[in-house]
Amino acid sequence: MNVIETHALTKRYGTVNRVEQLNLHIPKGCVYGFLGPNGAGKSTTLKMVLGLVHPTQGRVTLLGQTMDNKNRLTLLRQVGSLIENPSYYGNLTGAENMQVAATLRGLGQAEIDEALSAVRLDSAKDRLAAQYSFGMKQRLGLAMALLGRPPLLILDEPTNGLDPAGIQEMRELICTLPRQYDMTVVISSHLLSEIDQMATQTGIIQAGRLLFEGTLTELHAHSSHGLAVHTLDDAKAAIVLRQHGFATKQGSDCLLLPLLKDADAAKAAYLLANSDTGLLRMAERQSSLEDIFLALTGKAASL
Amino acid sequence: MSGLKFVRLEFFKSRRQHIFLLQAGLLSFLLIYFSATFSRKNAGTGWMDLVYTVPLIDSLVFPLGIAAIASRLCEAEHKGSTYKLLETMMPPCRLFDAKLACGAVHVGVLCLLQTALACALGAAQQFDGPFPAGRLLAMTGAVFAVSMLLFSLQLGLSLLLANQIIPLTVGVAGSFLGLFIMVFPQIVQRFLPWGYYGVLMLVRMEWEPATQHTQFFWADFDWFGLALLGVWLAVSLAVFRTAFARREV
Repeated sequence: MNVIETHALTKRYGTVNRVEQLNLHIPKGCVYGFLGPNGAGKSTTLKMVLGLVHPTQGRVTLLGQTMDNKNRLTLLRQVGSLIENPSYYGNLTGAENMQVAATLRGLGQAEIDEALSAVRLDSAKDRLAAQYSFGMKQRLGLAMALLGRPPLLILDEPTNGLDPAGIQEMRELICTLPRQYDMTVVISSHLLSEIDQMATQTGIIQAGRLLFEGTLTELHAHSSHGLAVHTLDDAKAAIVLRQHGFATKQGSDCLLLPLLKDADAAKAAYLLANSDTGLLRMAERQSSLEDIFLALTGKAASL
Repeated sequence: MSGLKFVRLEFFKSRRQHIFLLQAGLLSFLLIYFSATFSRKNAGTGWMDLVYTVPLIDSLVFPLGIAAIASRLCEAEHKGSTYKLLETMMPPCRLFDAKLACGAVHVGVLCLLQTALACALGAAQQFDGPFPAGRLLAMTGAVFAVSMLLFSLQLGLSLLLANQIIPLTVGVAGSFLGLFIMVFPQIVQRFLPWGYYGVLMLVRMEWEPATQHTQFFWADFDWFGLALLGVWLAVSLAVFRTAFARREV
């Protein structure tokens, strides 16, 4: 069962389609990494899923039901969310902030204590939220999203602005949620490494269009094996190899050949060694996730 | 969740926002002004002067005070980016209504305390004649009604605009406009929300240019003016409530 489905979801601002004909399928129980460069349409999509932004076209199915104005809040009772920056009242303490969210969700003190404990904020709960560090505010936002253990958690770039230790802590916390609380977690990020570490399913969006959706294993299957040839003169080496029927492609720092049989690889090595191109080494190469991302989006991934 | 709970939550959320200090500041200013003004008045027309003076000074002081109250009620929402959290848990219309009700309590308390303060000073000055309870009640109601119209405008602006300087500037402009428009005929005053403190005044003044003599007299309550104010209020609420509900976070 998919907890979130979008059907031809489109958002147009003026003449620009920020999100275009988006069809997401997010299965229950996964950590879904929603990946894309800055400005790709991730936040707009997630806001449309939460009903905070009105789609120009298309619809959202949440927990098996098509969301409309009438059932939106009923459905969202089962969804925790943290969109962009954390939401908080600076004039209230952490505990009072939780009280606001708990009152609106109809929850009690036990749920507040559990959520604060889950994000390890219980010792700072009586301090004013305005005095929290950004990381603490982010954890407070996560605690509000976790209130009442909703079956679906939507987190939009939750590690933005955190220091390296905070990022690691947040990642560990998010990874434990599906097991600990039986939650489906949707996490958006422009950081490929982050999604690679946390997600089991992934969707890649670029300029509002979904370029890929599937498991990380399926994404890795997009990678192609090949032979990387390092010489002192790649241009001359390419000419020599092409003259003998080898297909070549210029890589960023080497010449790329498709994966060859041993005999063909030996022949290529022999040709290069005897052609005054300065053969340095030949090595088998598998394209990294960054290469796949680059190939899909045409943009370098943030690392 | 009931509407009353949403209103209670608004009071909870406005903790440490010092709105009561703001009200205390306004009342202190009014206390000083009334003390200075009433002590110079003729005790024989004291109550009439009081009913004239209160809406007059309110037209100067309240627009800014009300803008500040509305701003304090909304500022934390903008600073903490809370709309995107709140609106996954409550309809935006309910948030608007709850803030309006919360503001109505603050404005109502301010109006009542102001009347109480003025009456106490009147009693202390031993104003002659019977205590005009009905007129004082009507004056308080009229001041509250006009103040709620201004609050609805200020609330709408403060909720919609993240930069609170803009609604506060409108408040300052309203203060000057409210007082300035008093010199114009009533028909002109009706064209601006800030002019209604003058429209609903229960005491009128006539000034004779030849003798330079000023005369105050009791006037009938302007029910038509009140009805117009009701129209203004309905339009203001409809426009801002709809705009707030329709906007995207």
